[in-house]
Amino acid sequence: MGLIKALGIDGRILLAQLFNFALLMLILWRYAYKPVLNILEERRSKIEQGLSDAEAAAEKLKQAEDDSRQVMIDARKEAAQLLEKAQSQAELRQQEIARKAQEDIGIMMEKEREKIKAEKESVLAELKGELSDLVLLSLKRFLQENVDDKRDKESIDRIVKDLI
Amino acid sequence: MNLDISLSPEILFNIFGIPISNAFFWSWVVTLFLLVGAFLIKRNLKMHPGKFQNIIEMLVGGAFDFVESMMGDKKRALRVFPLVFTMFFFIFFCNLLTFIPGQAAVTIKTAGGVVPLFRAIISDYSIVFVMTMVSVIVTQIVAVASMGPLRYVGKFFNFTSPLNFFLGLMDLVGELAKVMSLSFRLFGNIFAGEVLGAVMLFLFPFFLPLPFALLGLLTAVVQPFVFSVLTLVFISMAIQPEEAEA
Amino acid sequence: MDMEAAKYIGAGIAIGLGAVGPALGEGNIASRAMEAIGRNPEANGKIAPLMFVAMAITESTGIYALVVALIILFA
Repeated sequence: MGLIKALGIDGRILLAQLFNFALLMLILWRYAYKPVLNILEERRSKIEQGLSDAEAAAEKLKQAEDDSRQVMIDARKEAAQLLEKAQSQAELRQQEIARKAQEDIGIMMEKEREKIKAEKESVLAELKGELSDLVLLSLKRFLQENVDDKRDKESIDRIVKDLI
Repeated sequence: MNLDISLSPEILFNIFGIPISNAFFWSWVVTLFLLVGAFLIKRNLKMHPGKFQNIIEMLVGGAFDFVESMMGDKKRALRVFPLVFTMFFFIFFCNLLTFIPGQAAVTIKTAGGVVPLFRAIISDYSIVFVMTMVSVIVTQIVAVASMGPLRYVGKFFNFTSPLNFFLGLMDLVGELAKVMSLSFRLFGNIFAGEVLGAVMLFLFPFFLPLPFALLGLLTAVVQPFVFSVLTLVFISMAIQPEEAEA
Repeated sequence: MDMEAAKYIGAGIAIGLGAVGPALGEGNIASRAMEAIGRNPEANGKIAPLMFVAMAITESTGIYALVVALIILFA
């Protein structure tokens, strides 16, 4: 027991030290470790949250990109369809117009032809009348003149020349 | 100059008949310092840390990770952590106090003669003994809680065979020796360091104490670590009694 | 030889001999730990604390010698 005395151990001091240590532990736990650990945990969870958020955002972005690409593809397809439709319509229209034009032309030509025909007929009729007069006149003149061979020939030529 | 080595701390003054030793006095100073530090930390804690907070966070976080890896369970680690880390921190700061230059020369006149004002706090056996008792008693409480009182007693008084009885008694002795080894390891290291420093200072005050001071700095860090880690190991072994003994 | 001198001699012998075992043991532990770290540097963080704990336990006998020496000296 001499050692205990030599070490300077005193029961009251021990109690005081125990109180001291317990107080220190409690206060440090309450005011230092706990808040620091909490803030560490909080930061860790925040970082985790941020990471998962970033992941979600990336996912969303990818989704949006896909969507936009899809929209673009759709639009392009639609445009192509529209264009095709317009083309076919235009073709149809063109054909129609062409057909109509041809028809018109045909009608016009028919009309013209008829007109020409009528004119021709009228000219022909007139010509016929004149020709018969002329033949009659030439015949009359031919019969009036004395006819020999030579004269005959001459007169025929002349008549014909006249006629023509 | 004479070399006087005292195993017990020197009494500075008495309050209500209780002798206040220099080591006791300085342990209160360290405690107050740490308490104020804790309040300051609590008040200045921010989500975006500054330099100081970074250091604190690294220390506390790293220590907690270590405790968690030793205990293997976050809930258990949270229970043990304050005890173990306070031990480490307190002993560490007590040891750092001895590195204030010139403190060994300051003396004070008391009723019991001229005594040094400073003393390495851990070279006072009573504070070491208190912490050791806390560590050992907590270990025993954890052991009882995890094994149940019957099995706990059965561990020491095993009547199944003479050999087991003997081993049980050895276990009991081992538990008691734990108190000795744990407390005297810390006390002995710090006290020996102090004595060594004093002797070197006595022999030749220039340059000669420097390497020993560096050695003392290493001790000042390693010994609190060993003390708290051993406490941790004892507690974790008390939780899993089937694992190896120390 | 008076009692005082015998005490000092006894204390010196106790701590001197008691320091041999832990010294050898700790040296052994340190060398093995270094070897292990050298072989597997990533395990440094796991080996170092274990090394300190093992050293502390090895030191126990030395501590007992110290206690005995103190008892001889002061008790």
